[in-house]
Amino acid sequence: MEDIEASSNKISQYEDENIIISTNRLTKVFGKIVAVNDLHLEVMRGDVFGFLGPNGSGKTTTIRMLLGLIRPTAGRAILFGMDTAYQLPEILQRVGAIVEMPLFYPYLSGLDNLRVIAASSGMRLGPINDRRLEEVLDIVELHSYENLAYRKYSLGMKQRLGIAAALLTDPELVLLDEPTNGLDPSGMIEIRRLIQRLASLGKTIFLSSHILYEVQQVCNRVAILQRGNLVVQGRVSDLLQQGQQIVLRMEHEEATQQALNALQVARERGADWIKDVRSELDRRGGSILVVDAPACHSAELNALLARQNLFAAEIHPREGTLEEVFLEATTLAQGNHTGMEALAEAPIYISPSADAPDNGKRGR
Amino acid sequence: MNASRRTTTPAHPSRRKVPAPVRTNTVFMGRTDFISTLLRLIGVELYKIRRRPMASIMLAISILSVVIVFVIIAISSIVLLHSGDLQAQQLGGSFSGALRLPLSLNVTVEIAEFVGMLLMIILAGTIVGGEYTHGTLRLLLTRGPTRTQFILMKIGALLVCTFVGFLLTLLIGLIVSLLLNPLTGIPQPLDFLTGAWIMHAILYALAAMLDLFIYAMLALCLATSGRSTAAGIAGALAWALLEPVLSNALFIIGHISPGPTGRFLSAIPDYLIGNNTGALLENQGHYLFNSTPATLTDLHALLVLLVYLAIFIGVAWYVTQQRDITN
Repeated sequence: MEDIEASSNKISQYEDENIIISTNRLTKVFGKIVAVNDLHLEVMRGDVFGFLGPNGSGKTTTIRMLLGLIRPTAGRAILFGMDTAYQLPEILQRVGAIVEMPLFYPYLSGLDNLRVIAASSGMRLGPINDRRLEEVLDIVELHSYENLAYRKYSLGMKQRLGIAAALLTDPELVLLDEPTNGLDPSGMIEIRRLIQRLASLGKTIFLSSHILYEVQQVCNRVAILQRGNLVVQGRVSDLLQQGQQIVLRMEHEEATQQALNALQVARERGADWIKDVRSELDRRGGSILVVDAPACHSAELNALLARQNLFAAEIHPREGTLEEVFLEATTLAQGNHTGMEALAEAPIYISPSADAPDNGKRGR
Repeated sequence: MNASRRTTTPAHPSRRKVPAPVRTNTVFMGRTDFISTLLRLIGVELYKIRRRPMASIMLAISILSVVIVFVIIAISSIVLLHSGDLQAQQLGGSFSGALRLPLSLNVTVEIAEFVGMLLMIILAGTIVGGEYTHGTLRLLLTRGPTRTQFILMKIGALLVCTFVGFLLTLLIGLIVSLLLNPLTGIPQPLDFLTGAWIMHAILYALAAMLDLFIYAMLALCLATSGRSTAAGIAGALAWALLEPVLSNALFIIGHISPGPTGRFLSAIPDYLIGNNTGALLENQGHYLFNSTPATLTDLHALLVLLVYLAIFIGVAWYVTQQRDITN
């Protein structure tokens, strides 16, 4: 019995030690505006966590609360098991962050700015940390511009300097708020690669963005905010799986209609894995059938049609996109509930079993 | 999509501290106790000030002001001393006294105080308001320093700047006056130089530095409250320049008005910054230059100035503590 208890304590401690960010009923009210409402987030060690939401949904306010820049009206933010209300300096020693547009001292060079940030972050003064400064400048490829005054930096260079500053102390957690804002496509790709590199080093990344493609490319978990309310939180793969479809192309129009009828009947007769089936036109104007069903049912679908002497000329799965998930979640939240209070009553979480954390297995 | 969702509440946040992994071996962290962090931050602030061209320009202005005044005094004295008129020679003799100790100390301190006050207000307004204007406060506060340490860092840096700036100006002023004095042909007397005189001279210099520091704190308070460089500089300059006018106006109105209102109005100037820093300087000046002492005692002046310091620093600290750092 004692063994079971000890083992369960060990598991609980292991899980606790891997929760990097955890918010509990986190709320911020500015006057009459509820910027963040009753937010429960959980970010595990090694996660690349996408924090999505339309402009004004409360992403930056949440990040500011996590960093202690603004005080929550209610609730708590726990980072590394420590409460931001009481142990902020200790927490911030382990965090690197960019909040919105990174801002530095315009009269200092990029290198001098990093020196200032290094010392402000608790690093020792003097040349002892010069090697680290060089390392981060190399990572963001700003070495050749290190002595240029910050005010002369381009937008992309400013963003990269912000990332260099965030990485200075080799933090465990990197909070990036819209890091690709104002960057050209090549700059965006560069930042995305950098995030992937950081993730491979075992860093926990909290990436706030409204560029869904970017998030889909780099994140393993996401949370979607809408008007300050959490509407979805879960693994990207799980969310995308829910949006999976199977696309069928029949030989001719008549067969398409017959297949549509056959699938509708099958659905009515208990094939509940078919959520919906409809006929659509493809880019070339030809008819296709779109079946809302997981890709693993492709063979079953094919067999079902074959039993009716209907043979598909083409059958392939279509992966859902985060954009669809996002639109569905935010539209649903808007459509189902008009008031924020109503939304707060029914936050939607992916089942914890499906959302099992990596527990630090990734990277590191 | 909705069908497979389940409404659950995430686990209650952990209260167990997550152990920190080892950092890369190229990162050398310093000590993290309050004082070590504060000293490091003051070092950072001074580094930033040193890297600003404005700081060098301001120091140059302060030093040049003293040098120029002494050069003008020296030239005027020499011209008067070498004129044929006896009265002019006497005038030149007394005028050249400003080139010799102890009077040269008085002249240097007065110039350093006037110019220094303007420069310290500009410096304080810039280094505090600039954090809001450039948005760098956000950057700083996400790196670990507490808000109290932020305010103390600014105060510490301004204290060092006041001390170093004033002492440099004072030393250069005294050296220039001593170098120019031989041109007048009048020797430097040394009979006044006693241990007590030196102690009073130190107190005199400290009183002048306190004067500069209080105006710097006023600028810090206004820049913090107004979240801008302009608020700090304009507000503190307006206060510093209007205070003597207000003081004189209240004194006159108080003496014209009969009864308790008049007495109340005429007593107000005794509680203004300028009159109290002035009183500290005059009281030391009485020992140093045999001038008339102030009507206000040192204790009164120090208490009033301490209250002002507490208010300025307290307001800046409170506002910084309470404020949400947004755009």
